[in-house]
Amino acid sequence: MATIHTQQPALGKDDKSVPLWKRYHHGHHWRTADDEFDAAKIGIWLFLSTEILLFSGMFCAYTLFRLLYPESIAAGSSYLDWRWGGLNTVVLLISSFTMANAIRCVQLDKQGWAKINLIITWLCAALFLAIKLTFEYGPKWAQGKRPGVLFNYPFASEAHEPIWWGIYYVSTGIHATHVIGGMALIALLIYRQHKGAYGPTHYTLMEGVGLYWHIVDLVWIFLFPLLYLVH
Amino acid sequence: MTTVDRTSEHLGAHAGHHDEGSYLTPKYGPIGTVWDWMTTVDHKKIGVMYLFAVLFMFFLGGVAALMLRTELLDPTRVVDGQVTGAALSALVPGEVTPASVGQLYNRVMTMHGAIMVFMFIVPGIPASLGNFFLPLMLGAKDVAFPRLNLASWYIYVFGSMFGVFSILMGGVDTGWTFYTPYSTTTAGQPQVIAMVLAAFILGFSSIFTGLNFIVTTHKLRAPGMGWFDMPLFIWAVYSTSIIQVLATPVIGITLLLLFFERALQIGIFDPGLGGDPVLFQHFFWFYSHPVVYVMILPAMGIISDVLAVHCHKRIFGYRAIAFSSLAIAAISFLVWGHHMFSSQGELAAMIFSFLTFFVAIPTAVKVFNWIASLYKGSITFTTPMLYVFAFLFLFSIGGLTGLPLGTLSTDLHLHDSYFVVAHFHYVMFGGTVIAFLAGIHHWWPKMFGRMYNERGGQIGCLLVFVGFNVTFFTQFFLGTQGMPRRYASYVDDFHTLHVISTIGSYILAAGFLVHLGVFIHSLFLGPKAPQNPWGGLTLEWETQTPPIEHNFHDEPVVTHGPYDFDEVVPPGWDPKDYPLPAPDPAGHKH
Amino acid sequence: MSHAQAHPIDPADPHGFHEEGHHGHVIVPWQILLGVLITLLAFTALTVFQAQFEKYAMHEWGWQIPGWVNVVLAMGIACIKGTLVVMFFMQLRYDKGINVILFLFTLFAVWLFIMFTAIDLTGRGHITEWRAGEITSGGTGAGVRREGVNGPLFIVAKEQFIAEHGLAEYEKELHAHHAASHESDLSTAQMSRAHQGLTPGLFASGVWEHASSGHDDHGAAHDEAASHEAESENAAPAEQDTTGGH
Repeated sequence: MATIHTQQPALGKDDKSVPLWKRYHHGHHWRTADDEFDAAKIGIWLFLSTEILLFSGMFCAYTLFRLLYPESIAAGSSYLDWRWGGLNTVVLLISSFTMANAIRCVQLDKQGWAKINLIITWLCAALFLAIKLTFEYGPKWAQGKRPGVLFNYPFASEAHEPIWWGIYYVSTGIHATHVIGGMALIALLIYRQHKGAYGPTHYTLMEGVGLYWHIVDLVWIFLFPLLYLVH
Repeated sequence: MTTVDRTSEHLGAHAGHHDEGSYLTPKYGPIGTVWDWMTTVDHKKIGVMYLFAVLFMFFLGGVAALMLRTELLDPTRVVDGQVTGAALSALVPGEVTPASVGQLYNRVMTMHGAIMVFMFIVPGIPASLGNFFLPLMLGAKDVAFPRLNLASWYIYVFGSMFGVFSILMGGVDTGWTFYTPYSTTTAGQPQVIAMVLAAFILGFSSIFTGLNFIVTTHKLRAPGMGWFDMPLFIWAVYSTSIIQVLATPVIGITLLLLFFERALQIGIFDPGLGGDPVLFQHFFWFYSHPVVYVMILPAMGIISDVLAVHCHKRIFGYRAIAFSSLAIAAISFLVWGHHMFSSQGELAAMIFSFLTFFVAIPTAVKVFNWIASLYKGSITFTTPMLYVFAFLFLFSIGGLTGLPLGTLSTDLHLHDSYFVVAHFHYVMFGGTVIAFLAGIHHWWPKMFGRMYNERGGQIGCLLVFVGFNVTFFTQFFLGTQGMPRRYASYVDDFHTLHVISTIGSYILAAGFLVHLGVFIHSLFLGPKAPQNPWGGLTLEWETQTPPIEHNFHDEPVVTHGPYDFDEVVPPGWDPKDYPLPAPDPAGHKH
Repeated sequence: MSHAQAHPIDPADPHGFHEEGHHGHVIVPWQILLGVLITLLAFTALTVFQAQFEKYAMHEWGWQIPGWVNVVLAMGIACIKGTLVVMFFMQLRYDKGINVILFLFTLFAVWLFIMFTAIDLTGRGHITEWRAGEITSGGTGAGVRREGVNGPLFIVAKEQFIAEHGLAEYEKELHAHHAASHESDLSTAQMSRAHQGLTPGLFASGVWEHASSGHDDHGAAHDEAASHEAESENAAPAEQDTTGGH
């Protein structure tokens, strides 16, 4: 049983009338497309594990400084406006929903809806960053609410507020970096989806980016109460 | 060893395919071939590239180690107004004083540690031998994500360049552990950032390799291969990969925080701002302790496989060895605090000390099973097998000297002394590097299609074994007598032992030179290797030597276990050369 | 929301999806997705409400809700939200066992990490008492490498502002800032710190000069923390209840 697969799929590779996703053939080292999809899923989940553990460092730092300097953390928290944080939570939740919905649409070959959902997802990500930069980072930095030795806020009341800002900027900054990365990936998805690359039998990359995007949302779900609400 | 040439006899089986070249056969012109290697997604080529890259890093780290030992042969001191013992003076910019030589010593020491840990021993076995043989042993055509695999190699090279860059900038003197606040506050040391970024980038390479191996093991086993039909090397690499995936991100965030701390002084690790430097140690060792098992577990896997093949005997306690790998991986996450006995609170220290002893259980399970496997085996004293014996001896010493270090009260006396240095070199060198050498010799014929000179390999092994013991056994004495680690100078009482240790390191280096010569000789002049020189039963021996690009002509179907030496004639062997023993009346398997 | 609703894909396709035991692809109905989204938004509103309610109840009715209630509720709601996202948006509910195990094991590793580290940092004084005070009091930024810094960072910032703009301007700005930071003095957490910026008179006692003269003098840093605590206790008798995770 010779199993060196030819790369040539069942349908004509160059037949432009057939959408790309129907012409996709799994990698030669896989036995079936299902195997390839399952493997990609395990790979993505492993990657998500690394993401969770990356953020766990920040959660650990937060927990410990909360135990060491509860008052400074409470004071720092009171400088954050829950309205902006809450709005950003809503924005991210909606984008998470549209992402999941985009995958559902692709699974059902509703390409138009899929595109709309993906674009909404991307716009929500952009909105999140815009709110973050315009209403949170910008004014706070200008007021001197800066991390560590850069701290220059004259109206502070707790000695360890510079530490609080260190935790705040690093944890939300790493999260924002992930949002930027997600925007790049979603933009890629929009382009590829426009080219017809995804359909009911092949949407591995969408599934992967979708899971990544949900983990970005998941991290924010925990960051929001910790930074804005708990005191 | 039999001397029958089995190459020709094997031709019959795959006569139809035999014109297909191996993965090493160039398909294009010189430039095309280089481009082909640069862009390859073939796990074998990536494995070979990794092998040469990590061995080059081993060379760099080794040179640094020899520099350290040479300096300690006769440390720079001022005696009667005269500067004496300036062995490294040529490398010191400006005036040669004990202080300037000490500064250089610190940098060389950091270079040795950082290169050996981040660029040699962590990627070492999994990324080179693992990459090459994990898919072959599983009967797969490639790893699950071949392009990710190539990306991992490039990230490794890129990260290593950052590390080398920091050395060219003058070197880092923090030690490979980057402890705060020293690493964040020493003035005029921007190189720390380069080295930290190097370690951060190398983490990605490590994660990608581990992720790839886990998925490959889950999804690409050949038909008929259940979890308990896998070679033990795979179990070990699988356990390693779990640690790599779960622990490496934490060093990622640690180094990011250190980077911000260094660049912006955000204060999380800075006691001056209310931060906690011990928190850095927790972060650091949450990764760096499990990663010690990233270093040793694949070595244990190599030992299991090489030992069974070169004894031609079923491994004793297959499942015990397999599960002990997973157990070591799990326990590795519970014991990181034993690196911080002197800096953390006693309560945590007591808990961590208690938990540390649990590591000894699965480790001892492995060692006992290996020794039991030797019983009534038909042992061949080839170079790989000699290295297995060396491993069993040295690793046991390394493991047992870990017990006084895991004991809270004795550790407070021994910590940061040469006893610690000797202990971890016995585990890391006497364990991992020795097993790496066993693996390289064992699989060399399969990788490059040439036999190496057996006598040369044996001489090299002897030199390495003797040199290693002379170098590091003396350091146990130095440590118990109070010689602290990381010092460029010492009191006269320690001189004799230091001289012996340094001479040992030269013998060790000579051993490596012999190996280098044997390998180069083999590549160009070595006799052509048969398909299965040792009589192994795992799947990599079923394909031709060196393997074809897609590994197997036909998808292999697994019908026997990896260690059924009493039931199966090894692939490529004539039954005449391999008289099977009488069947076991009880019919035991595994 | 049973398995039946999440139907597998129509298997009439050429790429091996027809094989038996195929269970990787699940299409979650949009009704479920939308329902999850609405639930998530509701929980977001709830968590914001409970945080605000604490301040409101304190202000209007004088209820003292212990600080840990806030933490437990906020994190409990976050956990529920996270579970919903993982189960439905990320479809772990329909996924292979290996991915579920992986996810749970990851959470276990996170727990180990935080738990053991916390054991050390909170348990230092349990056996030898002198370790506790020295380590937890920490620094304040006095003596860090920054030009013009010769005291705790936040005091330096304040003095710099006063030197540039005058004390009257500072008082005015202080009011404006703390009014802007939304009802700050309604929160129970704020009870444990000064209501109007800095506790009056705290820094007139001269401890700061002492602290800034020798940064590595932990005793001084400790004094400062102790006196601060004493002051704020006068201002806020409810301190013990408000800091949740002491």
